[in-house]
Amino acid sequence: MTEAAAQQQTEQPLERSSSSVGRLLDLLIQQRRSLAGAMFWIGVVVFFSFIFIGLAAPLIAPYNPQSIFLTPPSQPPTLQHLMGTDDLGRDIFSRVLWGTRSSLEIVAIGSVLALIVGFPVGLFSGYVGGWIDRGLVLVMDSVYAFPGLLLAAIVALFLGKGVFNIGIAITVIYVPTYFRVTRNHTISVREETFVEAARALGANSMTILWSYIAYQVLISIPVVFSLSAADAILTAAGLSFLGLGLERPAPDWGLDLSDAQKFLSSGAWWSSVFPGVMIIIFTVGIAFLGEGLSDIANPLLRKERA
Amino acid sequence: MEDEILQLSDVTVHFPVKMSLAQRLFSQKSVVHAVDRVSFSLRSGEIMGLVGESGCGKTTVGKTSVRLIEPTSGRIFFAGHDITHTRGEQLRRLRKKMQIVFQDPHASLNPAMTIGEAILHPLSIHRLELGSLELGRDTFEQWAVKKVLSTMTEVGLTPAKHLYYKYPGDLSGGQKQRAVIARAIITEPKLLVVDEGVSMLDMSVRAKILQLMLDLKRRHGLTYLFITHDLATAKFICDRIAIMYLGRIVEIGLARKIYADPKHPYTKALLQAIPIPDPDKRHNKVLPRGEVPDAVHPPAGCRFHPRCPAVLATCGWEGRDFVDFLDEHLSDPNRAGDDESILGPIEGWRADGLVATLKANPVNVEKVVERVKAVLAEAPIAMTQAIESVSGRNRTVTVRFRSPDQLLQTNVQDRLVECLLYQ
Repeated sequence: MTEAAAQQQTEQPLERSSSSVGRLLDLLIQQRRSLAGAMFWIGVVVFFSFIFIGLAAPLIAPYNPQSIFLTPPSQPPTLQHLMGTDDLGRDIFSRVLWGTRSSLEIVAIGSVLALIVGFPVGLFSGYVGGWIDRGLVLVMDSVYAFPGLLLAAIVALFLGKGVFNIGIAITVIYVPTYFRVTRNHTISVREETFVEAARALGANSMTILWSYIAYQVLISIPVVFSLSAADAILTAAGLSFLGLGLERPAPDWGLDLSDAQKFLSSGAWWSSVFPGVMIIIFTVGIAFLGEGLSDIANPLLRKERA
Repeated sequence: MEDEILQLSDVTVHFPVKMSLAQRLFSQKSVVHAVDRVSFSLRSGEIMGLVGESGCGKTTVGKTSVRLIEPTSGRIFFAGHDITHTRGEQLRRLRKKMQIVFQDPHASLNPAMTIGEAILHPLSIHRLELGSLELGRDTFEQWAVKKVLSTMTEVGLTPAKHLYYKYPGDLSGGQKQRAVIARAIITEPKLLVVDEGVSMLDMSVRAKILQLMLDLKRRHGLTYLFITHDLATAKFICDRIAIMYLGRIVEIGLARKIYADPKHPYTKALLQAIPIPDPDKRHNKVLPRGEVPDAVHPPAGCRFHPRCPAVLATCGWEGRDFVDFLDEHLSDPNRAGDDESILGPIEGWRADGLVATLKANPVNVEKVVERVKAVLAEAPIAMTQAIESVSGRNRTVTVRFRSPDQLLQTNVQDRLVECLLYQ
C-alpha cells in the first residue's frame, strides 16, 4: 500500500454511531404504541397541522377574514360558511384559520425570546453560583410567583397591542421557567467528573460552559419549550379576550371569543364554539407533545447518567 | 533538585463543613481535615503509589497536586517551580504538563462528544501553544486529527478511525479508560496522576491497562502518582509507596521494602488484610479495631492510635477517649455492675482536649472519683496509663490526661515512618 493510499484511509471516517438525540428519536419511534409515545405523536401531528394551517391560511381560507357578507349576520353553519358567520357577517371558518397564524406568531416570539434570555442566564447563574446566583434566583422567583396572566396583562398594558408586544409580554412570564430548569440542570452537570476533567485539561470557563455543560442542559429544553408553549397559547388568547391582545378587526381566537360571548344567549353558539375548540385542540396537542416527550426522554436521561 | 517533577511540602487541605445558618451562628467553624501537612516528592520517571482506605485523603492529595483543589496551606513545586499560587493563563498552560485520570472512565468523558473529539479537545484547548497560528487552521486541524489517531492506536483503541466517531456510551469500560488515558497523554505531559484509574475495571482488563501505563511510561518518560486502595495493584506497579491514614502519610518508602517488612502498625494491618488464596495458611491477624474516625475531629497525636494494636500511653490519648472507654464499659453488663448508677449517664460526661469532666452531686463527687479509679485499675490498657489524675472538686469530677509525645517522621531502614515506636 502506498503512503497516499494509507492517507486516504485515515481520512475516510467510518460509520457514525448514534448520538443521544438519535437515540431519543429511535426511542420515540419504538415507543409509539405506549401511552407516552402515543401522546407525543398525537401532539406532533396536531402541532404540525396547526403550523401548516397557519402558513397556508391565505390558500385554504375560502374568504378574506375581514370581508363582511351582506347576507343577514350571525348565520348558522351552512355549506357556504362551514362555521357560520359572526355578528358582523364575517366568515368564521376563515377567521379561525387566520387566527391560527397570529397565535403561532405570538407563541413563537414568546417562547423563542424566553429561551434566548432564560437559557444563557440560567447557564451563567448555575455555573458561577455564589451571591450572583442567589440574586438572580430571587429576581426570577419573584417574577415566577406572579400569576402569569396578570403579569402578562400588566406588561401588555405598558407595551400596547400587537403581535410583537404580546410576544414580549409572554416572554416575561416564561423567562423564569427556562431559567429555573437551565440553572438547576447546570448545577447538577457542573459537578460531573467530565467537567472536572475538562478543567484538568486546561479548558477555560467559557469552553467548559459551552462545550461541556450547555449541550447536556439543552436536552431538558424541548420539554420545557412545549409545555410552556401550550400555556402561552392560553395566555395569548386570554390577553386578547381581556382586550389587551390584538386590535380589532384582526382575526384572533381570543378576540373573536370575547366578541362572540355576548351573542351566546341569543343562540349563536357557533361564533364562540369554533374559536374555543381551536384553542383547546392546539393547547392540548402541544401539551401532549411536551408530556409525552418528557415521559420518554427522562428515563433516557436517567439511564445516560447511570 | 533538578529531576524532581513534583514536590509537596507540608500541604494541608481543609474543607469547610456545610452548616445551616443557625449552626453557623451558634457554633464555631468546623472543617474536615482532609489532608494535614503532607510532604513527598516524585523523581522523574518514578511511579509512586498513594495507598489508603477510602476517605483517607489520597484523592484530595492527587487533585491538589494538579491544582484542582486549592491547598489551605503548604507549597507545591512542579519541575522546580512553585506552582502553589499559579493561576489564570499560566495555570492553564501548566495543565498541559500535568494530567489526571479519574476513577470512573464513563463519567470522565463528555457523553455529547465522540471519542475522537474528546481526545482532540486538549489539542484544541492548547492550540496556541502548539502553534496553530503558524500552521494555519486547516493544517493544524489535519495535524491534530492525525495525532489523535496515532495516540488512539498507541493506547490500543483500534481500529482508530472506526472508534473516532463513537460516543462514550458505545464503548466498553476498558476502551473508555484507554480513551481517557489517550486524552491525558496527547499533550505529552510530564506527570500523570492516576486516581484509582483501574479500580472500576475487571481483573482481566485491569492487568492490560496497567501494562499499558507501564509501556507509556517507558515510551514517553512519564512520572506517575498512582492513587489506589488496592495493595496488590500498588505492589505490581509502584516503585515507592506512601501509606496514608486520615490525611497523614504514616509510612513512605520503597515499595518492595515496605511490602517485605512493614514498620508502621497501620501498614502492617493493611498488609495483613490482603487475603491469601490458601485455606491452610491461616495466621493470626491483628486488624485495627473499630471504624475510621471522623475527619472533622481527628484524634490527637497519632491519628491511628485509637485503633492501633501496638498503641503506647504517649500516643495522644485525650478526654474523649476516656468517654468512649467508659461508654463501652457501661454497656457491658458483665463488667458494669452498678457503675451506671454512679458514673452514668454517659451523656453527662464532657470531653474537652486533654480532660473529661462530669458534673456530679457534691455529696457523690468522692464516690465517683473512687469508682473511676477502680474501673481504670481493672483495665490495664495504654489509655489508662496515659491518665495523669482523677480528681473531684466542688461539683466536678475531672479526668486529666498527660500531654502526648511529639510525633515525628523517623527514618527507619530506608523509609520514613511516623510512629512513636521508632522514635
